[in-house]
Amino acid sequence: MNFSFFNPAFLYTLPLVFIPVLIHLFSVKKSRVQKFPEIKFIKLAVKQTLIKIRLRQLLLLLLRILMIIIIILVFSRPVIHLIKNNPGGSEKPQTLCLLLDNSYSLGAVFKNSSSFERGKEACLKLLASLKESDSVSFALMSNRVKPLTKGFTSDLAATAEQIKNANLSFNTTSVAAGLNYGYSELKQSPGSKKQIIVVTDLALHGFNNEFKLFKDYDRNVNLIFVDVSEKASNLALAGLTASSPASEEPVKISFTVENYSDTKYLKTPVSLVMNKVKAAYGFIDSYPGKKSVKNLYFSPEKKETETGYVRLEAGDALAADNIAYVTARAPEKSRVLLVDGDLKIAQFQNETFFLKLALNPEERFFGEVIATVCVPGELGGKNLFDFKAVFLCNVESFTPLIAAKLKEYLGEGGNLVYFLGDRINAKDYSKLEPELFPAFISGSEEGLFRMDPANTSVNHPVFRQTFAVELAKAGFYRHYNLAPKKNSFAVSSFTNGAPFMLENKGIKGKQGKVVIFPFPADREWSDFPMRPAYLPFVQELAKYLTENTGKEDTASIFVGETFKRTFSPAETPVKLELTVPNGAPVVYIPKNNVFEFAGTVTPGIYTLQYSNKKGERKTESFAVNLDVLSGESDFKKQDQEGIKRALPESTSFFLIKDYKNIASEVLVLLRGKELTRPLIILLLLLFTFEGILSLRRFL
Amino acid sequence: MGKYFEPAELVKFSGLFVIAKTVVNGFFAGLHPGAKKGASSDFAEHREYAPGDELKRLDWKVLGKTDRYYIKEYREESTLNCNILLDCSASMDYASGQISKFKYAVYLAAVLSYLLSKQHDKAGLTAFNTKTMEALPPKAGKAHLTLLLDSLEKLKPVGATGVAGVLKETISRVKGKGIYILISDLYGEQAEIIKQARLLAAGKNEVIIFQVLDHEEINFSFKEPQTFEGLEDIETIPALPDMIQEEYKKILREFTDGYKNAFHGFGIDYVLLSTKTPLEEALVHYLARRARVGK
Repeated sequence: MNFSFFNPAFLYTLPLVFIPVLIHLFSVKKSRVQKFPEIKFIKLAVKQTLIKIRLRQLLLLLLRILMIIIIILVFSRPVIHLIKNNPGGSEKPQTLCLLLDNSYSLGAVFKNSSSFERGKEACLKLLASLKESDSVSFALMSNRVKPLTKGFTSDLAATAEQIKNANLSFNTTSVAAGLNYGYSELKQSPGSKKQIIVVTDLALHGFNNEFKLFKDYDRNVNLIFVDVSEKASNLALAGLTASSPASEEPVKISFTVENYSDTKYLKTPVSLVMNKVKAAYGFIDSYPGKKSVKNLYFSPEKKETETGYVRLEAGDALAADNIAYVTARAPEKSRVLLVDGDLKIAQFQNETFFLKLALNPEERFFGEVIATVCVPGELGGKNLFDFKAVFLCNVESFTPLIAAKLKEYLGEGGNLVYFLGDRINAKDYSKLEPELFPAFISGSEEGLFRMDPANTSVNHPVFRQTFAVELAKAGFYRHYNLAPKKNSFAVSSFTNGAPFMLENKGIKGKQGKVVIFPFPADREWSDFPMRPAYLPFVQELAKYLTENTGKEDTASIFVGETFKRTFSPAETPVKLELTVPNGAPVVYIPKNNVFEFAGTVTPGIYTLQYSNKKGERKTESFAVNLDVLSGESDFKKQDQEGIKRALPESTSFFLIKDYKNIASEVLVLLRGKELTRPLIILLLLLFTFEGILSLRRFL
Repeated sequence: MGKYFEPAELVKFSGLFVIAKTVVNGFFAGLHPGAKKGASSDFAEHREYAPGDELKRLDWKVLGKTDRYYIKEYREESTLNCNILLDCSASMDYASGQISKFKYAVYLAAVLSYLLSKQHDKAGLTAFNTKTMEALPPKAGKAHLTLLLDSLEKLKPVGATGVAGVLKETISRVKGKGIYILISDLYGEQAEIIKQARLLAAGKNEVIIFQVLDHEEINFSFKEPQTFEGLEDIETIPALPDMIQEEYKKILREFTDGYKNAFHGFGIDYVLLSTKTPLEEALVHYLARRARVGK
């Protein structure tokens, strides 16, 4: 806090303060002689009131000195500067970086005007109060900063036009991004009085990230936050997912409704529109600060992709987050290859019989996994990339060609499962590369063994869903002794301590999983296939191995994220057409089998159309949604203390809560506040006090 | 007659009675009830006849009605000796208005003397500063009154105060019992004055003290800074009256209350008079109070 003066020349009259001192020192009042009968009482009274008299005289002296000082100050017109680093008085030109928050939460409506409109109004008012000598840079701020002026300009009229034409985005707030931009802009400016003015709704989550890491941080830059938010309640749709347990069943659209308000909303209508037809509707109750989960179902039309949206009919402040888009694909079956090393004439004697049954119980259940059986000799001719996992059941050994093929498959995200039976060549297996077979086989043991639940990683996805206790009931009469290599570990063990299930670890890049069981998949060495635990165990194993196999989950992304579609070499189109919501198709050419699109600025359904090399016309869709769970829909505000904590220490910042008076408040901060009026009031008070003290017997 | 006695004033005071607090021996004379009973026109009570009583005092009417012998008894009227002690020191010469303390005191003394004379009491005067300046022994009669008033007229306030000394001297001269009226501003050694006044009252004398102070002495309402000079000494002190007024009044109140409390309970009547208090009012107030005490 420092001072400057409009008329500093008056300060030269400050020595006048000595006038009352001189008067007090040299004025001797001539007093009349008064005869009095008895002066001993007067003497006594004088003696007893002497201290009071002296005090009063001293007080009067101080008052009079103070009054002269104030009179001089009134004439010199002092100006107080609340912000630091504001040298050179109040007349020097200002360099302002004006940032207007255009994240979607600014769309919150209060009394027919949105926070964004109020922000624009505030910016215009501020601009109108600036001088021609001031220069300003204007940018829209969200997690992406969009500059609307080229550097700093003194053309305030053109800047005002830019502000009027500014639009709300669907992005989330990031004050850090805005400040980073502001600091780097101001670094290039030669001015001495630099300020960043952030017009925002102070959304709490906007202050979350990377505040201490400003690249061009300058402690001489003052930050002024202007709060344009009003108290409002909001409901938001979030976490929209489409799932289908099986192809024959209706698709389940599940979502949550977040209530970011102080009031409860009961029986709020919610509707699901799929392929432009209202497919389902329902009602949802939501309570303050809580989330409510809701499911809606629809029967798919067997299209490649079904697209639609869920809309919440709530009369809350922010409409943008009451709609969420979804795409639903027909469930894709996972294909696995079962290599049977001990094929028999009787089907049920096959090595893979139980495995295949458990993976796809055909007529009895709907399976999500399609299993193909082959013999080891057919491996060379199979395109392994068509399968998400290869189960090698009791395969004697691998030729170097097959081993290389398996290694390539593994390297590209394929998964391998070994079931070791009596036909395998243990020595050959142990010699395999650790990536391909991450274990040594050191003979086998006979007896009665069971899986040890106490020695099992129950957090492993395979065991998490399976009852380890049920598994432990299975009896094993024989098993190989496995010793894990450096890149593997025992997920589960037998009661005798030997590994029951081994898995590779430290997987790099796209490399797939390798799982080894030291026993065959049939009944030869155990009664495991006859146990109730066998089916869920195999199902979970297949699920574990076939999920997330390198293909991007592009069904739904957030606004601002880059959409990425990787094609297999066989499918890569020469060109493709992308249709954005409410837009016309635009042609793009994929590079290196990958199509990337960063312009996801609007929430909605984006449609991709292309012809693959076989000439088939393909249509894919993806949904772009608001990032509601980032906290943007939550109108909780950051307070003064929170801002202080978020900013680097020694940053000078101010918070203007009354956006209506932004012009006057910012002007006070920029140009200082003239103290003449309060000084005159103080002077009048002192005059009154001095009058009372000198006229009346005050003490 | 002296200039102090306007006929109107004479009429005004003639309706009131100075009532002595203590009973003096002797007979009734005038309006003061005596302690002794005897032959007088003021009936006191009946008493049974005893051999040796004068027959002329027998109540014949009672004898006629009841056949019993009763003697009628009467109060004896006494003659009061009243000494007025008047302070004539220089401090009494102070006047903030038209009338000085001294003049006021002289008026008071004259009025009292006249009143006493009218009641056929004996009035004496002792004028003093540090010593006795003028002394008239208590006597009755118009001629004495005239002499007394003439003396009063001739007095001038001068010199220091010696109230205690004069009281001591008075005590040594006391013969019989009487009323002593002290009119003074009571400046001087307060403890000594109190002591002597109590001694005077201890001899069954009635002591009445009028403390006469100027209005300004009591209120101290000077405005401008003043250098105060004593009337009885040459010391001076500069002061800002408005600053010390409250403190001065407090000190003076303590001084006057000192007398009031010290005299209370010793049979001494103490009255504080300001020179602005109408003389009549002061006397009326005082005499009325005196009458109540006597009943």
